[in-house]
Amino acid sequence: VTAPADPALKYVLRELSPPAREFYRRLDGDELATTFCPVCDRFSFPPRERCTVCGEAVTWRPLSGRGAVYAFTAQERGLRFTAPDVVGIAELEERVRVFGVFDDRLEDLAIGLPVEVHLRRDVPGLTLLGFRLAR
Amino acid sequence: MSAFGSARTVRCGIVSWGSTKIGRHPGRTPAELGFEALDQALGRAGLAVADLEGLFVVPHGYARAQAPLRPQRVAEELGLPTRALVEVECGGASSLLAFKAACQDVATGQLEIAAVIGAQVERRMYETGMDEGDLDRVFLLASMLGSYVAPYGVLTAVPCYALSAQRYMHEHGIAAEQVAELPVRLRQHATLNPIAEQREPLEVDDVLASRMVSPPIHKLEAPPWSDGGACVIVASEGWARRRGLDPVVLTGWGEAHDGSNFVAFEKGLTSFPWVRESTDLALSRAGRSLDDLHVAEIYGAFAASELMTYEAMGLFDSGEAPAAVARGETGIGGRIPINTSGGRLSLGHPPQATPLLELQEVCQQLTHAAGDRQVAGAAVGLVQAEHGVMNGSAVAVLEVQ
Repeated sequence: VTAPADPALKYVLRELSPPAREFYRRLDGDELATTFCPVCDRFSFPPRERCTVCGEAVTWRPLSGRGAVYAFTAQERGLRFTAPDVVGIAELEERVRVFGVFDDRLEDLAIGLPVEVHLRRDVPGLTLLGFRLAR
Repeated sequence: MSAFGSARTVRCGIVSWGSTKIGRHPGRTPAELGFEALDQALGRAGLAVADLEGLFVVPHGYARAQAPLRPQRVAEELGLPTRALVEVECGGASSLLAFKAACQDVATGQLEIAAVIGAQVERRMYETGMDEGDLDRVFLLASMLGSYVAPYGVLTAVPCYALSAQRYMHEHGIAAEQVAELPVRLRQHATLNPIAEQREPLEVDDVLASRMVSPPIHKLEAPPWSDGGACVIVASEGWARRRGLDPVVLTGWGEAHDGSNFVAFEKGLTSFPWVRESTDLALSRAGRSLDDLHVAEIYGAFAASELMTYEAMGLFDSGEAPAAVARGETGIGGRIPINTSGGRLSLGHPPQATPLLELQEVCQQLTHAAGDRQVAGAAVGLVQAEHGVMNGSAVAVLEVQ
């Protein structure tokens, strides 16, 4: 994580927790991953330092990046992408739900459509998740 | 004796309340609105500033650079020595949690009487533009959305509420017209409330024709971002009776929070078990059930979230609230009148003061001072507040004897 050119991110970046730093460090290295508790046999998102259910140490595991549209919306005035920003949640094959920005237009989206994650590097300071409908 | 004064907790309640009109207060400060509400509350019950032993204050809103409203400053302005100066912040639930803190200090004997004050003035910023300081506050506000949502440029909770509303409508097959019915019903209440911001009659078609703020949320399914101030005065029952006042007694308190903020990734966006937990806890402590309630003020920041809250509390089965609202069950004269004030959508929503406005409405109902919107025979009421996108819930049960 480097200093942002964009002041909109300054407080977010100052306050990233250790697991969030690790999440974004891995994204920078082209790896989408989150933490997994081997005792509970369960992924968590957001990633955690310890399992929030049993308290055991977790390990990082890659995620497939394949899933389905869980929910989506648009905002009139975002701080980031060109309006209208279409943002939302994808539920991945591992049953992990993650937040991202859609490449597709709002009117082309529907809950349940297959979606793929790709990495967006157009924001200085953080690699983010992009969603695109699978063909 | 105990560390705080009383060997046992003593009953406490609300002895007075006051608020500004809700809407636009250009050129005024949160402190001015807070003091106006306090003056009104003191005057209603024939109390003086010098009667107060504690001040519980909610900081002014988030999105504008302005001098902080702090309990220390309020005490200085009033020239009031106290035995408790407390600031409470937990998003939209802040002023209900400040009320709880005041009640706890009274119940444990630290104080006999205290004022709870909340106010905000931010509306004008959105109408006249922001300066550099305001913009920085917006970045600070956006950062509250956390490490996994804020980087996407999400500015407010509105898109998060929209995602939740979309799932709700999807999972239960609820049509846009059904959600749009709620603002229409709330507006009917607001036309009877002189302090409400929006009082013009409204039809379902008006709601659906209003612009999409964040799909599927229409503008008229979202609250006006209002200016306003409110105050309640809490006292022990003994103190109140000695002064010839009949308190609206707090008979039950419940509170439960999820370990999430705004987007509850792991719980999904339509399941809020902590809302039921807080409701059941408050009712059981009061020795009451949902069927005993005559009136309720429920936070409901957006139309769909309000409907989901009714269901999460257990008032209606999952997916059934829209039909119940359309049947008039939540109207004045209905099975359980909800948000007789007009609710957040029509009373208006200054979040830092909103739960105090909810308390005010229920106190007016329970003391039969609600004028044209009076619920006949109201004696048991409930107030609910939330923070984040319903990530936590607090509930107070209030009664008159």
